[in-house]
Amino acid sequence: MWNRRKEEESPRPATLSSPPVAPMEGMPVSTTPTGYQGSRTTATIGENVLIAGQIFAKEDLVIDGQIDGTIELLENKVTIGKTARVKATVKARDVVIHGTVHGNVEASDKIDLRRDAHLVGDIRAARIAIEDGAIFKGSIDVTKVEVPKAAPRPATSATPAPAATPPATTTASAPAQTMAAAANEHKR
Amino acid sequence: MSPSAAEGTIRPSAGLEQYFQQLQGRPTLRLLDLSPVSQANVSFLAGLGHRLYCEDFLSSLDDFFGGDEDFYQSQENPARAQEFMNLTFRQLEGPFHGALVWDCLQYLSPTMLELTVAELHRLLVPDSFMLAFFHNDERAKTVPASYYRIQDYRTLSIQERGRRTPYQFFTNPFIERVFRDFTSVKMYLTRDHLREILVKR
Repeated sequence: MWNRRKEEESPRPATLSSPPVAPMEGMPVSTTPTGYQGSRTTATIGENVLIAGQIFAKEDLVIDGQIDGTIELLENKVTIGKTARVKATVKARDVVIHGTVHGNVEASDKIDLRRDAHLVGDIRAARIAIEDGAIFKGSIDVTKVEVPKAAPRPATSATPAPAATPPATTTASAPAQTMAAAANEHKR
Repeated sequence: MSPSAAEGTIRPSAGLEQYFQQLQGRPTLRLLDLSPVSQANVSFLAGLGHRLYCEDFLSSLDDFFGGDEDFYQSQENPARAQEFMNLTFRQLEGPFHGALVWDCLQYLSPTMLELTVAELHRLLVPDSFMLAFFHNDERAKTVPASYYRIQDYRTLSIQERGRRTPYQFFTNPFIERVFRDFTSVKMYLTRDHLREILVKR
Protein backbone atom coordinates (compact mmCIF):
# COMPACT_ATOMS: atom_id res chain seq x y z
CA MET A 1 0.00 0.00 0.00
CA TRP A 2 2.44 2.69 1.14
CA ASN A 3 5.37 1.10 -0.56
CA ARG A 4 3.88 -1.37 -2.86
CA ARG A 5 5.14 -4.88 -2.49
CA LYS A 6 6.22 -5.09 -6.09
CA GLU A 7 9.80 -5.26 -5.01
CA GLU A 8 9.11 -8.71 -3.61
CA GLU A 9 8.59 -10.02 -7.10
CA SER A 10 11.67 -8.47 -8.59
CA PRO A 11 14.65 -10.70 -9.18
CA ARG A 12 17.60 -10.24 -6.92
CA PRO A 13 20.32 -8.13 -8.41
CA ALA A 14 23.51 -9.71 -9.56
CA THR A 15 25.43 -8.05 -6.79
CA LEU A 16 24.10 -10.63 -4.36
CA SER A 17 26.59 -13.11 -5.62
CA SER A 18 29.43 -10.67 -5.45
CA PRO A 19 32.01 -11.50 -2.85
CA PRO A 20 31.40 -9.98 0.53
CA VAL A 21 33.43 -7.00 1.44
CA ALA A 22 34.78 -6.93 4.91
CA PRO A 23 33.87 -3.90 6.96
CA MET A 24 36.45 -1.18 6.81
CA GLU A 25 38.82 -0.91 9.63
CA GLY A 26 37.48 1.50 12.15
CA MET A 27 33.95 1.33 10.79
CA PRO A 28 31.49 0.84 13.64
CA VAL A 29 30.01 -2.42 12.43
CA SER A 30 30.66 -4.96 15.12
CA THR A 31 29.56 -8.41 16.18
CA THR A 32 29.70 -7.87 19.88
CA PRO A 33 26.72 -8.33 22.16
CA THR A 34 24.82 -5.07 22.56
CA GLY A 35 22.50 -3.54 25.10
CA TYR A 36 19.40 -4.49 23.10
CA GLN A 37 20.25 -8.15 23.09
CA GLY A 38 20.97 -10.97 25.43
CA SER A 39 24.04 -13.12 25.25
CA ARG A 40 23.68 -14.08 21.57
CA THR A 41 26.18 -12.71 19.13
CA THR A 42 24.72 -9.69 17.45
CA ALA A 43 26.01 -7.47 14.69
CA THR A 44 25.64 -3.75 15.17
CA ILE A 45 25.49 -0.94 12.66
CA GLY A 46 26.59 2.11 14.54
CA GLU A 47 24.88 5.45 14.83
CA ASN A 48 27.22 7.20 12.40
CA VAL A 49 27.07 4.60 9.69
CA LEU A 50 25.12 5.06 6.46
CA ILE A 51 24.58 2.05 4.23
CA ALA A 52 22.94 2.34 0.83
CA GLY A 53 22.27 -1.11 -0.55
CA GLN A 54 21.27 -4.52 0.64
CA ILE A 55 21.93 -6.16 3.95
CA PHE A 56 21.68 -9.90 4.42
CA ALA A 57 22.56 -11.49 7.72
CA LYS A 58 22.53 -14.88 9.38
CA GLU A 59 22.83 -13.46 12.83
CA ASP A 60 20.86 -10.96 14.83
CA LEU A 61 21.41 -7.35 13.89
CA VAL A 62 21.04 -4.04 15.69
CA ILE A 63 20.79 -0.93 13.55
CA ASP A 64 21.49 2.46 15.04
CA GLY A 65 22.55 4.17 11.82
CA GLN A 66 20.98 5.02 8.51
CA ILE A 67 20.05 2.39 5.95
CA ASP A 68 18.67 2.96 2.46
CA GLY A 69 17.82 -0.24 0.62
CA THR A 70 16.74 -3.64 1.85
CA ILE A 71 17.35 -5.65 5.00
CA GLU A 72 16.90 -9.41 5.10
CA LEU A 73 17.53 -11.59 8.12
CA LEU A 74 15.17 -14.40 7.32
CA GLU A 75 16.10 -16.54 10.29
CA ASN A 76 17.11 -13.85 12.72
CA LYS A 77 16.03 -10.79 14.60
CA VAL A 78 16.65 -7.18 13.61
CA THR A 79 16.41 -4.39 16.15
CA ILE A 80 16.07 -0.89 14.79
CA GLY A 81 17.38 1.40 17.48
CA LYS A 82 16.13 4.80 18.58
CA THR A 83 18.69 6.68 16.52
CA ALA A 84 18.17 4.60 13.39
CA ARG A 85 16.67 6.01 10.22
CA VAL A 86 15.77 3.20 7.90
CA LYS A 87 14.35 3.64 4.42
CA ALA A 88 14.10 0.02 3.41
CA THR A 89 12.05 -3.08 2.99
CA VAL A 90 12.71 -5.14 6.10
CA LYS A 91 12.27 -8.91 6.24
CA ALA A 92 13.26 -10.92 9.27
CA ARG A 93 12.12 -13.55 11.72
CA ASP A 94 11.55 -10.88 14.38
CA VAL A 95 11.61 -7.12 13.99
CA VAL A 96 11.83 -4.74 16.94
CA ILE A 97 11.46 -1.06 16.09
CA HIS A 98 12.48 1.79 18.37
CA GLY A 99 13.45 4.26 15.64
CA THR A 100 12.20 5.54 12.31
CA VAL A 101 11.37 3.25 9.41
CA HIS A 102 9.95 4.10 6.00
CA GLY A 103 9.22 0.90 4.15
CA ASN A 104 7.32 -2.34 4.37
CA VAL A 105 8.18 -4.64 7.24
CA GLU A 106 7.59 -8.39 7.23
CA ALA A 107 8.33 -10.86 10.01
CA SER A 108 7.81 -14.59 9.98
CA ASP A 109 7.24 -14.42 13.71
CA LYS A 110 6.82 -11.08 15.47
CA ILE A 111 6.94 -7.33 14.89
CA ASP A 112 7.38 -5.22 17.98
CA LEU A 113 6.61 -1.50 17.71
CA ARG A 114 8.02 0.22 20.77
CA ARG A 115 6.79 3.57 22.05
CA ASP A 116 9.40 5.62 20.16
CA ALA A 117 8.83 3.80 16.89
CA HIS A 118 7.80 5.78 13.85
CA LEU A 119 6.86 3.50 11.00
CA VAL A 120 5.38 4.43 7.64
CA GLY A 121 4.75 1.32 5.61
CA ASP A 122 2.78 -1.88 5.56
CA ILE A 123 3.46 -4.53 8.16
CA ARG A 124 2.85 -8.24 7.99
CA ALA A 125 3.62 -10.77 10.68
CA ALA A 126 2.24 -13.70 12.61
CA ARG A 127 2.25 -11.61 15.80
CA ILE A 128 2.32 -7.87 16.32
CA ALA A 129 2.93 -5.99 19.55
CA ILE A 130 2.36 -2.24 19.74
CA GLU A 131 3.30 0.00 22.63
CA ASP A 132 1.30 3.14 23.31
CA GLY A 133 3.00 6.10 21.71
CA ALA A 134 4.20 4.27 18.63
CA ILE A 135 3.44 6.18 15.45
CA PHE A 136 2.29 4.07 12.55
CA LYS A 137 0.81 4.75 9.18
CA GLY A 138 0.05 1.84 6.91
CA SER A 139 -1.70 -1.48 6.78
CA ILE A 140 -1.48 -4.28 9.30
CA ASP A 141 -1.81 -7.85 8.21
CA VAL A 142 -1.62 -10.39 11.01
CA THR A 143 -0.99 -13.60 9.18
CA LYS A 144 1.41 -16.45 8.98
CA VAL A 145 4.26 -15.27 6.79
CA GLU A 146 5.87 -18.02 4.77
CA VAL A 147 9.53 -17.18 4.63
CA PRO A 148 11.68 -19.03 2.13
CA LYS A 149 14.82 -20.56 3.50
CA ALA A 150 17.71 -18.22 3.08
CA ALA A 151 20.00 -19.07 0.21
CA PRO A 152 23.48 -20.01 1.28
CA ARG A 153 25.50 -16.88 1.67
CA PRO A 154 28.86 -15.94 2.95
CA ALA A 155 28.85 -15.57 6.70
CA THR A 156 28.79 -11.81 6.89
CA SER A 157 26.35 -9.63 8.70
CA ALA A 158 26.50 -6.67 6.38
CA THR A 159 28.10 -6.14 3.03
CA PRO A 160 29.08 -2.52 2.81
CA ALA A 161 31.87 -1.75 0.41
CA PRO A 162 34.83 0.43 1.18
CA ALA A 163 34.18 4.09 0.81
CA ALA A 164 35.59 7.42 1.66
CA THR A 165 35.43 8.12 5.33
CA PRO A 166 34.64 11.70 6.17
CA PRO A 167 36.20 13.01 9.32
CA ALA A 168 33.06 13.35 11.39
CA THR A 169 31.12 10.26 10.39
CA THR A 170 31.82 6.92 8.85
CA THR A 171 29.83 6.32 5.69
CA ALA A 172 29.76 2.98 3.97
CA SER A 173 28.65 3.00 0.36
CA ALA A 174 27.61 -0.16 -1.42
CA PRO A 175 28.92 -1.00 -4.91
CA ALA A 176 27.53 0.97 -7.82
CA GLN A 177 25.24 -1.84 -8.95
CA THR A 178 23.81 -2.22 -5.51
CA MET A 179 23.31 1.50 -5.29
CA ALA A 180 21.43 1.38 -8.57
CA ALA A 181 19.31 -1.44 -7.26
CA ALA A 182 18.52 0.60 -4.21
CA ALA A 183 17.68 3.59 -6.36
CA ASN A 184 15.31 1.49 -8.44
CA GLU A 185 13.82 0.25 -5.21
CA HIS A 186 12.98 3.83 -4.23
CA LYS A 187 11.48 4.63 -7.60
CA ARG A 188 8.94 1.88 -7.21
CA MET B 1 -19.92 4.97 32.18
CA SER B 2 -17.48 3.38 34.56
CA PRO B 3 -14.03 4.78 35.23
CA SER B 4 -10.95 2.63 34.97
CA ALA B 5 -7.49 3.98 35.79
CA ALA B 6 -4.92 3.64 33.03
CA GLU B 7 -7.31 2.11 30.53
CA GLY B 8 -9.37 5.29 30.36
CA THR B 9 -13.12 5.20 30.63
CA ILE B 10 -14.79 1.96 29.75
CA ARG B 11 -18.26 2.34 28.33
CA PRO B 12 -20.72 0.44 26.18
CA SER B 13 -21.15 1.68 22.64
CA ALA B 14 -24.35 1.02 20.74
CA GLY B 15 -22.80 2.39 17.56
CA LEU B 16 -19.88 -0.01 17.80
CA GLU B 17 -22.21 -2.91 18.45
CA GLN B 18 -24.25 -2.07 15.36
CA TYR B 19 -21.09 -1.59 13.35
CA PHE B 20 -19.82 -5.07 14.21
CA GLN B 21 -23.22 -6.59 13.56
CA GLN B 22 -22.86 -5.39 10.00
CA LEU B 23 -19.44 -7.01 9.70
CA GLN B 24 -20.56 -10.31 11.20
CA GLY B 25 -19.80 -13.36 9.12
CA ARG B 26 -17.63 -11.40 6.71
CA PRO B 27 -14.00 -12.21 7.43
CA THR B 28 -10.94 -10.70 5.73
CA LEU B 29 -12.41 -7.26 5.25
CA ARG B 30 -10.25 -4.20 4.75
CA LEU B 31 -10.99 -1.66 7.45
CA LEU B 32 -9.77 1.90 7.81
CA ASP B 33 -9.03 3.17 11.31
CA LEU B 34 -8.37 6.89 11.67
CA SER B 35 -7.18 6.72 15.29
CA PRO B 36 -3.58 6.27 16.43
CA VAL B 37 -2.51 2.65 16.17
CA SER B 38 -3.29 0.67 19.30
CA GLN B 39 -2.74 -2.89 20.39
CA ALA B 40 -6.38 -3.20 21.43
CA ASN B 41 -7.82 -2.29 18.04
CA VAL B 42 -5.24 -4.28 16.10
CA SER B 43 -5.72 -7.39 18.24
CA PHE B 44 -9.49 -7.20 18.11
CA LEU B 45 -9.87 -6.51 14.40
CA ALA B 46 -7.08 -8.84 13.33
CA GLY B 47 -8.60 -11.46 15.61
CA LEU B 48 -11.76 -11.25 13.52
CA GLY B 49 -9.64 -11.88 10.45
CA HIS B 50 -9.73 -8.33 9.07
CA ARG B 51 -6.91 -6.33 7.59
CA LEU B 52 -6.48 -2.96 9.21
CA TYR B 53 -5.25 0.31 7.71
CA CYS B 54 -4.13 2.86 10.26
CA GLU B 55 -3.87 6.59 9.79
CA ASP B 56 -3.66 8.87 12.80
CA PHE B 57 -5.80 11.51 11.17
CA LEU B 58 -5.73 14.08 13.98
CA SER B 59 -1.96 13.97 14.33
CA SER B 60 -1.57 14.31 10.58
CA LEU B 61 -3.93 17.26 10.69
CA ASP B 62 -1.91 18.92 13.46
CA ASP B 63 1.37 18.21 11.71
CA PHE B 64 0.15 19.70 8.48
CA PHE B 65 -1.90 22.68 9.64
CA GLY B 66 -0.29 23.34 13.02
CA GLY B 67 -2.15 23.12 16.28
CA ASP B 68 -2.32 26.91 16.86
CA GLU B 69 -5.04 29.49 16.43
CA ASP B 70 -4.59 29.50 12.66
CA PHE B 71 -5.50 25.81 12.62
CA TYR B 72 -8.93 26.27 11.05
CA GLN B 73 -7.91 29.26 8.97
CA SER B 74 -5.13 27.20 7.35
CA GLN B 75 -7.60 24.45 6.60
CA GLU B 76 -9.72 26.89 4.64
CA ASN B 77 -6.93 27.45 2.13
CA PRO B 78 -8.18 25.30 -0.78
CA ALA B 79 -4.72 24.48 -2.12
CA ARG B 80 -3.44 23.43 1.32
CA ALA B 81 -6.59 21.45 1.99
CA GLN B 82 -6.24 19.60 -1.29
CA GLU B 83 -2.57 18.93 -0.63
CA PHE B 84 -3.46 17.40 2.73
CA MET B 85 -6.08 15.22 1.07
CA ASN B 86 -3.57 13.99 -1.46
CA LEU B 87 -1.00 13.21 1.22
CA THR B 88 -3.45 11.51 3.53
CA PHE B 89 -5.98 9.68 1.43
CA ARG B 90 -4.77 9.43 -2.13
CA GLN B 91 -2.03 6.96 -1.28
CA LEU B 92 -4.47 4.66 0.49
CA GLU B 93 -5.09 1.57 -1.49
CA GLY B 94 -8.82 1.23 -1.21
CA PRO B 95 -11.52 0.37 -1.42
CA PHE B 96 -12.38 -0.35 2.19
CA HIS B 97 -15.21 -2.40 3.63
CA GLY B 98 -15.58 -0.20 6.67
CA ALA B 99 -14.15 2.82 8.44
CA LEU B 100 -13.69 3.82 12.06
CA VAL B 101 -13.56 7.58 11.95
CA TRP B 102 -14.13 8.17 15.67
CA ASP B 103 -14.27 11.90 16.55
CA CYS B 104 -11.95 13.23 13.83
CA LEU B 105 -14.51 15.04 11.72
CA GLN B 106 -15.25 17.57 14.45
CA TYR B 107 -11.92 19.27 14.03
CA LEU B 108 -12.29 20.16 10.40
CA SER B 109 -13.19 23.45 8.80
CA PRO B 110 -16.13 23.39 6.33
CA THR B 111 -13.84 23.01 3.31
CA MET B 112 -11.86 20.20 4.88
CA LEU B 113 -14.98 18.50 6.20
CA GLU B 114 -16.48 18.39 2.75
CA LEU B 115 -13.27 17.09 1.17
CA THR B 116 -12.75 14.47 3.87
CA VAL B 117 -16.27 13.13 3.69
CA ALA B 118 -15.99 13.00 -0.10
CA GLU B 119 -12.73 11.02 0.21
CA LEU B 120 -14.33 8.59 2.66
CA HIS B 121 -17.24 8.16 0.27
CA ARG B 122 -14.78 7.42 -2.52
CA LEU B 123 -12.76 4.95 -0.44
CA LEU B 124 -15.67 2.93 0.93
CA VAL B 125 -17.42 0.23 -1.06
CA PRO B 126 -21.20 0.50 -1.45
CA ASP B 127 -23.16 -0.92 1.52
CA SER B 128 -20.17 -0.60 3.83
CA PHE B 129 -20.39 1.19 7.18
CA MET B 130 -18.57 4.00 8.89
CA LEU B 131 -18.62 4.83 12.59
CA ALA B 132 -18.15 8.46 13.65
CA PHE B 133 -18.57 10.31 16.93
CA PHE B 134 -19.63 13.88 17.60
CA HIS B 135 -19.79 15.67 20.91
CA ASN B 136 -23.22 17.13 21.46
CA ASP B 137 -22.70 19.52 24.36
CA GLU B 138 -23.63 22.82 22.75
CA ARG B 139 -22.31 24.90 25.64
CA ALA B 140 -18.84 23.37 25.73
CA LYS B 141 -16.12 25.61 24.31
CA THR B 142 -13.70 22.71 24.16
CA VAL B 143 -14.37 19.01 23.89
CA PRO B 144 -12.12 16.07 24.73
CA ALA B 145 -10.37 14.50 21.78
CA SER B 146 -9.85 10.86 22.69
CA TYR B 147 -8.19 7.58 21.96
CA TYR B 148 -10.85 4.97 21.25
CA ARG B 149 -9.87 1.41 21.98
CA ILE B 150 -12.08 -1.52 21.25
CA GLN B 151 -12.52 -3.85 24.22
CA ASP B 152 -15.13 -6.10 22.66
CA TYR B 153 -18.06 -5.97 20.22
CA ARG B 154 -19.93 -3.44 22.29
CA THR B 155 -17.42 -1.89 24.66
CA LEU B 156 -14.95 0.93 24.18
CA SER B 157 -12.15 2.29 26.29
CA ILE B 158 -11.98 6.06 25.86
CA GLN B 159 -8.88 7.91 26.94
CA GLU B 160 -8.54 11.66 26.57
CA ARG B 161 -5.68 12.89 24.41
CA GLY B 162 -6.27 16.58 25.09
CA ARG B 163 -9.08 19.07 24.71
CA ARG B 164 -9.77 20.81 21.44
CA THR B 165 -12.04 23.52 20.17
CA PRO B 166 -14.32 22.16 17.48
CA TYR B 167 -14.94 24.40 14.49
CA GLN B 168 -18.67 24.01 14.74
CA PHE B 169 -21.39 22.22 16.60
CA PHE B 170 -22.88 19.24 14.83
CA THR B 171 -26.65 19.13 15.13
CA ASN B 172 -28.60 16.15 13.81
CA PRO B 173 -29.81 17.96 10.68
CA PHE B 174 -26.28 19.20 10.03
CA ILE B 175 -24.87 15.67 10.36
CA GLU B 176 -27.48 14.43 7.91
CA ARG B 177 -26.45 17.16 5.52
CA VAL B 178 -22.75 16.27 5.89
CA PHE B 179 -23.46 12.66 4.91
CA ARG B 180 -26.09 13.45 2.27
CA ASP B 181 -24.26 11.37 -0.36
CA PHE B 182 -24.39 8.26 1.81
CA THR B 183 -27.30 5.84 1.88
CA SER B 184 -28.34 6.23 5.51
CA VAL B 185 -27.32 7.80 8.83
CA LYS B 186 -28.24 6.29 12.20
CA MET B 187 -27.63 8.21 15.40
CA TYR B 188 -27.19 6.84 18.89
CA LEU B 189 -27.39 9.23 21.80
CA THR B 190 -25.35 8.52 24.90
CA ARG B 191 -25.22 9.88 28.41
CA ASP B 192 -21.77 11.36 28.01
CA HIS B 193 -22.54 13.96 25.33
CA LEU B 194 -21.06 11.78 22.63
CA ARG B 195 -23.34 11.18 19.70
CA GLU B 196 -22.51 7.98 17.85
CA ILE B 197 -23.23 7.90 14.14
CA LEU B 198 -23.39 4.84 11.94
CA VAL B 199 -23.28 5.80 8.30
CA LYS B 200 -24.02 3.42 5.47
CA ARG B 201 -22.24 4.07 2.19
